[in-house]
Amino acid sequence: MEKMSIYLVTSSFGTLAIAALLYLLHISSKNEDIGKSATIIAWIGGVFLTLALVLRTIVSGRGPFANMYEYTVSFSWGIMLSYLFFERQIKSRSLGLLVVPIAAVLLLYAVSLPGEVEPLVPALQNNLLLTVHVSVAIFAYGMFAVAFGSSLMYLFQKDGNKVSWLPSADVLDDVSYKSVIIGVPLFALVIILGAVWGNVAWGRYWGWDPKETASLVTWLIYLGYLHARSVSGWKGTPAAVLIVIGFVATLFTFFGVNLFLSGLHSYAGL
Amino acid sequence: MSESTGEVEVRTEAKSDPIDGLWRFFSSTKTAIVLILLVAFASFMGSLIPQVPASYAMDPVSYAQWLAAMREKFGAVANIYDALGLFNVYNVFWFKLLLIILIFSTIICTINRLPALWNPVFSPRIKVSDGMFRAAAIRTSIKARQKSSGRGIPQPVKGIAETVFSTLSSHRYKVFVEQGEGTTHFYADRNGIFKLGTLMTHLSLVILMVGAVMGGMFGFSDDGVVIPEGKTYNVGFGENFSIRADQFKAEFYPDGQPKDYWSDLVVIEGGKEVAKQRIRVNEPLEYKGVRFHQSFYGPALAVEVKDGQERTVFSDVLPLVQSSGQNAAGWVSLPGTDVALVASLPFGGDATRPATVQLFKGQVPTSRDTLRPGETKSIGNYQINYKGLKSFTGLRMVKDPGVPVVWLACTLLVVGICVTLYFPRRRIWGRVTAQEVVMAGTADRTVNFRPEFDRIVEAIRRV
Ligand code: HEM
Repeated sequence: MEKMSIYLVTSSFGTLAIAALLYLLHISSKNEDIGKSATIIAWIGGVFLTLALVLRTIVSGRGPFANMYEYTVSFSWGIMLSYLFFERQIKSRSLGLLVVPIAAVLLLYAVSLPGEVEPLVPALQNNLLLTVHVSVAIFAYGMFAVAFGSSLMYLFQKDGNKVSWLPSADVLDDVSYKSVIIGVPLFALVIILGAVWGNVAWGRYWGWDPKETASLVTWLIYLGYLHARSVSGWKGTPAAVLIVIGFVATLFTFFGVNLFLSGLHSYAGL
Repeated sequence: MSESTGEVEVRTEAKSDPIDGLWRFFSSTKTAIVLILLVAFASFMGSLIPQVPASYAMDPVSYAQWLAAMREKFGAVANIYDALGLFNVYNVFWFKLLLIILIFSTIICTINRLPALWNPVFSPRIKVSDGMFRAAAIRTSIKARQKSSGRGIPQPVKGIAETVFSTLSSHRYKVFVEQGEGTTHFYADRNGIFKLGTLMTHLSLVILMVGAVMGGMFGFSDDGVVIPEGKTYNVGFGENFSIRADQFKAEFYPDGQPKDYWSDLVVIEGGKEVAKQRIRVNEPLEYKGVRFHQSFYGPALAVEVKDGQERTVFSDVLPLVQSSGQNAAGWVSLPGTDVALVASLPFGGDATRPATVQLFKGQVPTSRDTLRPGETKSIGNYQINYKGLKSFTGLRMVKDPGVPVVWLACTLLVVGICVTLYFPRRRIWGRVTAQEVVMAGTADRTVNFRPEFDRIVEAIRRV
């Protein structure tokens, strides 16, 4: 089953790569049929990923978040879930052009990592808290990835919707905002659940551990975006740039801290 | 009051000014931002610079030793850090002062904004000017159907108004009415009350800081509680109970990674055992608000030392708390002498591996030898018996009465954010006369208001 799960991850990488290509074809040719098949293939990739994660959970008897491999696959799953949700919401496939490749690239990275099921160190053996903490994080990251995709496209569309095959700037701005307002409370929950866990495991709810600090800074960037929008009435380019910066911070929180810094969270390293 | 009339005016000005000025200072967003940045910066320094363990900070002698080690590491800069309190950021007075000022400022900020938040919710402006209607981006005018009786008496305004209000209510709007002459003014909002969500969010920050400060002021923590197996540790910090560690065990995966480790702890109060628990990384023992977390562990040596006259000068379990290269090491100064004993043991290997024992006079090593468990050797002027290998357990001891307050604040924070973000406000002003109903609407930036507004207008028209 462990092998099976690894094969499924590899296949979902292949599937999502094809889906990404179809999204590109669909958007450049405006062919509805290609668009529909892109969506179907993306869903199949999502189902593969779901199966892979379920199998892995059964094999290891815990949530699939214990090392970089599992964590990356879950991240990719969260992105696909958020993306497919928004594809239905805004009835436009053009975000797929940017977001689906992000999910595929993450899977490619995952495939390059050692994928064996590993035993857990004692700090991670608190299943419920760990599972909720990380699975909420996966959704929040997924939302931030969608916001990144739409904000990046916004930056191309801002001067009079020049790119005809992309959604209009207004729609993109709206998608960014909607995904951020889902992501921000979720990510607040992640930080708080992390604090609850830290309080149980280490006896302190906050310790300026690198992962904690990076998460807080990431959250504050998106909070800055919300304040800028509602208090200072920012819209458009500066807001979109803030979201792009936010996603860079998200990626750093996700990968950078585990790979480059040492701290209580670095057990989730390679 | 002042005696000289000439000065009175000046005095009154001077009297009201400082308070006014202070109020303005503390209610300004700029002040808040600067304060937040200062706190963030100080906390950041606290995570960059090593912080003195609580148990050392309490005792001047151990603090001096710790500081000496830091001087070796940082050179002269260590003195500056020490003078500024940067080795103990979270407990230094200026950091606490900063936090208290920040709480103060957030409270003033909140009070200052209260009317601006409160009034639109509970006593909104109902009558607005013509200009406001003309300027509104979203507005409409519904002409009444002419059904007037022959004598030109207008159709009762009341009936039309009722229709408008019930339609708005059925669209989940809360309606406020002000009766004018021949004109009924109204204001209606949807999700108006949820504007108080931002109040909740910002208040939760105050509560959060209060919780954190409570932890610092009324709690304590010690990261480095070391208890050898079988020994009892006096909790201190004004608590009158002790902890005995009966046993420590660790299990490993085949690749040497720790799988599980636990300590059996017993709480002793007034000479009696009052609680007992096996603690693990995620399962601390809590007694009277003090928690004991399994944190680290290591080897300990049962050692007996006799002097030349066969008198036992030391018989205890010596925890090897320090790690030096491949060895765990521990030291004890032999009571009543100026001799210190340093024992070390290589990490890993089986329980029979030999330990190295070294004697020091002051800072000078005098003699050394290695012993296996059960062996007795004479080293220097002492007979040293290495009785057996044991373990010590390392605990983090913490009392933090602020924790429930912090969780309360976190809950309010998330609820407040969700309420604010998911329930944007729509507002409609209007007036009803016999001839027409005029309505103008605005909504939070995030709402696409026009379709909703048009639906309401359509519903009113149909009646
Ligand atoms: C980490 C700290 C903070 C959090 C979590 C927070 C959270 C929020 C949220 C969720 C909103 C609603 C945003 C929206 O309507 O889209 C908001 C609004 C606002 N925030 Fe903050 N905020 C924080 C700090 C501050 C600070 C330091 C200030 C300035 C002193 C501030 C001033 C405001 C103002 C003026 C509003 C406008 C909403 C209103 O009318 O009350 N916030 N905040």
